[in-house]
Amino acid sequence: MIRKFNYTDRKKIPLDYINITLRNESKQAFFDAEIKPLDSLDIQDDAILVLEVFDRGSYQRFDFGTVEFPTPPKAYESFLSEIQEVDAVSFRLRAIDKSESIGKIVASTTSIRVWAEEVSEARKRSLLPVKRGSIGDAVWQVNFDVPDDGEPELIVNQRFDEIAIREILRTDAYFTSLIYPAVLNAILTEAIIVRGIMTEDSDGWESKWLKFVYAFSGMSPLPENANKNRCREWINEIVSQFSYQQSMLETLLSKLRESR
Amino acid sequence: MSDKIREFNAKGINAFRIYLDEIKNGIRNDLPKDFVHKKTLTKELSVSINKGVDDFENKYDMAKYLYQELVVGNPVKNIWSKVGVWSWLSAYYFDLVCPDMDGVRKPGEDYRHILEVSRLGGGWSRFYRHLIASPVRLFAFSLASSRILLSANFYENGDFIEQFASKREYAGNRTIISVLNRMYFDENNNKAKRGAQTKNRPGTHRRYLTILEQLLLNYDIQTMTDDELISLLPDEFNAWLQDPE
Repeated sequence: MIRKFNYTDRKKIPLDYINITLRNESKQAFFDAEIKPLDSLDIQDDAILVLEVFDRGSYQRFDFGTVEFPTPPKAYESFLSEIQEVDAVSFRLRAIDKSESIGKIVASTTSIRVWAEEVSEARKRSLLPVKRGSIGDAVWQVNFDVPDDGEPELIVNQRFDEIAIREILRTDAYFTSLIYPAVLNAILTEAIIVRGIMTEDSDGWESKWLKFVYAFSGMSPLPENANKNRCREWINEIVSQFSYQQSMLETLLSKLRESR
Repeated sequence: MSDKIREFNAKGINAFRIYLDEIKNGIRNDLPKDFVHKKTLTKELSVSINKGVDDFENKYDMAKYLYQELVVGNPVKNIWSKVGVWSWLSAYYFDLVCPDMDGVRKPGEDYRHILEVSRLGGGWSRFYRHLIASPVRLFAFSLASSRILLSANFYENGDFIEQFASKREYAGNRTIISVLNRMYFDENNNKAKRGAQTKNRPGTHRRYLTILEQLLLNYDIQTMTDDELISLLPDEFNAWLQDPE
């Protein structure tokens, strides 16, 4: 179990207290939000509620009433005019103190990812959202800087065609065999070595990835006192197993032979 | 002087891109005469402008003027995503945003002149670098407080924009920008205070940014007043809050 300090005594608003859906009207994105009464959460009644909407490059916020009287925006007021990527949008509801420590965040949900209706189920279930983005001349990057412990994202350079890159990432042996093992390595390194999370029993993205890794590899979890070298060895073994199961080396070698 | 604002069509934008390349490669040193008025490349809008390149004192002055003409009253629908309009304005005010300096013009990256919007993951990161659209948008966000952000030359963004406008949630946070303006803008001289951008000096704008990153973990600064935010800043910022002598 991961333990974190909560110096500011911030309350957590459970995700099942709010339900958000996206709606498309005349090619413009809106959202609808329903919220359960928050009075059981022991948050001061007069704290104001703010719904923040964001993706990697854009941000918008909506007043949401107070803890005592939550007031979602009306249907016509919820236009996501500032948000660039409207097929997968992140939301966060926050309660803000306006009486004692003004401006202090007294309660918050974690990041809530909401998918547009038309997005395929397979993409919604994906552990690794893929986005195109401005990353200089890099071909790809894993973005861990996602607010509120949001899951890491694979960013591919926006100079790739949007449709073509999705197909390439699914089927092109050059890309898949070279990128995915490196992505897996980067993600496990971040989770285990940088963040020190080795168990699968928390709410965060790290645990989802560890569950995924245990499921496909059948490997034993790392002991809690494993040092960095042991962690690196373990990650390398996992990446090797993953590459083996996906026949990555074989596929790449055969592709190279064909191209000669 | 009064001119109808025009909007580049796809051909106009393409031509602008080619001319920028030619300027970068030393093949030409200016846009062709009458480029911005060519009917095959542009469409006339109903909005007029009556200020030319010599009529603005500074970038803030330009942003305020264009905000009044293009944004107030919504004369051009969806103005922030009008690539053709902002790119045309860049060509129209080319001597401001890409001046001839000793016979050389340096346009830099295309997105400084040709607006890029709504690109997945890259929209704001390119938008804020456009030398016309970004000042107007920053003025729209923060009005008079945007002076500090717009204190650089017309042809560059400057460090205040790079540090504070590069993140959309900072650029649109009036309290953050208003306090930034209060601390580092010299009202008497109409420019950034001396030493505000000196590295390693206590309380500079980069330190302010570091402190904000910490505060934002626990505070929703957008709901705070300037004074409420200032009360949370360490003493090192006190000197910047005094009026310059």
